[in-house]
Amino acid sequence: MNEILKVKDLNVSFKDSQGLLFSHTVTKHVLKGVSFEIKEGQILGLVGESGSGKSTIAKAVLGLVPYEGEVIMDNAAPSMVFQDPAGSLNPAKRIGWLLDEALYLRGEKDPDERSNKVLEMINLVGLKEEHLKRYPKELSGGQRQRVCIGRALMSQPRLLIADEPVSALDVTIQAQILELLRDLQKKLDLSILFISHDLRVVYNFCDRLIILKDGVIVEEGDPKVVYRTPKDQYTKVLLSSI
Amino acid sequence: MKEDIILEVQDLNIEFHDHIIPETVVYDFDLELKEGEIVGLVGESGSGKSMSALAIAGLLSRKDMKKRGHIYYDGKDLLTISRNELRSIQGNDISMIFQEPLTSLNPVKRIYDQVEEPLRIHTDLDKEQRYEKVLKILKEVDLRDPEHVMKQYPHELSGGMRQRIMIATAMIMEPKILIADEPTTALDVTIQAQIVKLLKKLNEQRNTAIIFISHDLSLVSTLCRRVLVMKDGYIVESGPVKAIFEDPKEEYTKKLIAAIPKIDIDLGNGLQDE
Amino acid sequence: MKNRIKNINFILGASIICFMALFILAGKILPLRDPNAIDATLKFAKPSLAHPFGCDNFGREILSRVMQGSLSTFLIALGTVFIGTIFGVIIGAATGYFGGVIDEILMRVNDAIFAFPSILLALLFISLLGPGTYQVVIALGIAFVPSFARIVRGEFLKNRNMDYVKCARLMGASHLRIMVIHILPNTLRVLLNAILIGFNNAVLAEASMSFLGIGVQPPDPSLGRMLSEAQAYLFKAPNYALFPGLALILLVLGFGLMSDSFEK
Repeated sequence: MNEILKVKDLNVSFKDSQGLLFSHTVTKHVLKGVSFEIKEGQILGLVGESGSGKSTIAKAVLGLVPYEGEVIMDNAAPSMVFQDPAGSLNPAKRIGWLLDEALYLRGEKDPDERSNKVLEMINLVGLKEEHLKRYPKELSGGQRQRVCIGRALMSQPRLLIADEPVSALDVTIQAQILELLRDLQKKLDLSILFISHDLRVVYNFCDRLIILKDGVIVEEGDPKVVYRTPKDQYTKVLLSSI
Repeated sequence: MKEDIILEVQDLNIEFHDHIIPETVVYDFDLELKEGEIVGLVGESGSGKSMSALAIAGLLSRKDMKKRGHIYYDGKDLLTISRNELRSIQGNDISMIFQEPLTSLNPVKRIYDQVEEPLRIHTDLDKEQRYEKVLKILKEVDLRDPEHVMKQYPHELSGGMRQRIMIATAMIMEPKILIADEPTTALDVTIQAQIVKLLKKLNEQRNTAIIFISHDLSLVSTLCRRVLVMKDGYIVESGPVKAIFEDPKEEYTKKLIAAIPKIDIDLGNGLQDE
Repeated sequence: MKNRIKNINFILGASIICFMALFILAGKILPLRDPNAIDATLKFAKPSLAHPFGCDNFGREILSRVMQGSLSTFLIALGTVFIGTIFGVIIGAATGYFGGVIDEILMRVNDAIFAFPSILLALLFISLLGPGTYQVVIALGIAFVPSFARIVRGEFLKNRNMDYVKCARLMGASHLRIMVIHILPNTLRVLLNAILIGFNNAVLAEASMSFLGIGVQPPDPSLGRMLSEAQAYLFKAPNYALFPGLALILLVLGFGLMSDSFEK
């Protein structure tokens, strides 16, 4: 199996000015020497509490923040799904337009071909053709997240980065979206970097697990093994909280 | 009314009149709350669970609840008593905490002033007595260094600390009933567990009845003995947590239970066996 | 209920504006007397069938003058709002979206312009450009830019950090595309409201400037000019002030009601 993504010794720091009158800059180290890899067709869970730096990893991989270290990727750019599906979809545009744009921006000129692909995708994520004419506010939270996933897959990425994709959804909807992601992962042979704070979700969904605390990986391995025999003190605290 | 029942909600209906056609969000809500009991109210967004809680806390407009129904507390119907009487019960005997502690706290006021406020409104204690009480309650919600925290502003505290402050504010009048509307949803898991533990402790020490509202059935099961499941404004199932988990009657409850991600190993969860 | 009231507001406002539009159009179509034709025999003629609104101190037909005046006031307001909106949107979008140094510089200039009352500012421009209809449009237009820029900037600032903008960015959309195709449609509601309110202010500003004698030049009529001229004969011929005043009220009321209906 090949690696889809390889991250080596990733360091990210921000400069922050403190103090009102006599401000001095403080360098905040968000990630300190993070290394991991995702293999083809693997779902990697990235778990940590708020402020642990898990979203910063995603941003670094996508090149949205300056970083030190190595991020080695397949030439196909990864796509991203965010936590809040309502905010991720432009409220002034119809679903069909939103999906079509992903293709248009990739330079696909033929409108007929594009609309065929859009139709294919809307079915793939479990929605119907009629949804294409609706505005985001006319869909439920789960449906919106389906659209976001569909749009992310439009560019046929090898890697999907999902940042808390089910945290804003109701539990029954959560289960459906996770099932959809699993399904798509198998059908399209995707790799997924699944960022979450919910250890219960990660346990069943991911093939591998990384636990992050204050920008450092404290534990890594197969979730089944990690949950049974946690080595790090923080992992134990986390597991006792669920 | 039976001896130990402190709150009885009968046939509560909540209707909103914002649109031309009135919209009913809660139908025939019934609840009996015993002294010192923790009841869970579970449902997804839009199920009416928060609306029912707001109604009990007296935070909804009465015209939205005039269809039928009663909320009896201490032999009085909260829907018909005078505003002054209601105000003396609100925050005094029944108090409430919310999901987002940051927006529930006033950003420009120091913690001390916010925790102290109910004492100013409902009691005639002098300054020193109020200070003693605030200090005591802050210690009771397990805040480290309460003397220092008192002087701080909400934005200087972490989410977990802010929720503790909210609980302190709600508990300072030693209410009979505490309504907790998704108090842990906005918090990290480790903090979540601490807050749930704190609620449990307060319930045991002070015998405060708690209505715990959540969308998380597994969380409810660690804290509550009895649970009501709501869907689309109706209570679809209610009973002891154990019975509902082991033998759910309603299709919807089954779905909710199935949606909880299962972990097939024993994690030695410290909360469950308490 | 609230929706219905807002709808009524909109319908009422739109009807008033339609009525005014028809009124102005009628002035172009109906064979009325030339608004600038002087006839000494008709000096201060009372309203009658032949002269429905009466005649002014030069014996000019007030009806055709109000029609013509409403048109020029309307056109000046339109031009003003047009200039204000175009430049306001460009400046507001650029500063709100990019932020940083551009934002600092442009918004400080904006603040400086904003600090002057728009009439005073327009007066300053008029003194540079000289009086006349086009000059008024340009002067008022420039004076209106800051308020539009401020509104648009706020909306862009709010939207630029939304996830949907991040998504578009990740998919490779250019900044221009994000600004025009993604964010702009989301500001329309607020912008439309601002345009309608701006229209009102522009109508009033034009009237004020003509009242002061630096707007539309005599003998051409505008509502403000007519009011200013009628001032001297308020008791002798109240109809002279009444009708242009009424036209002004209707224009402002119509747009005001429409903008109310766009508020949340």
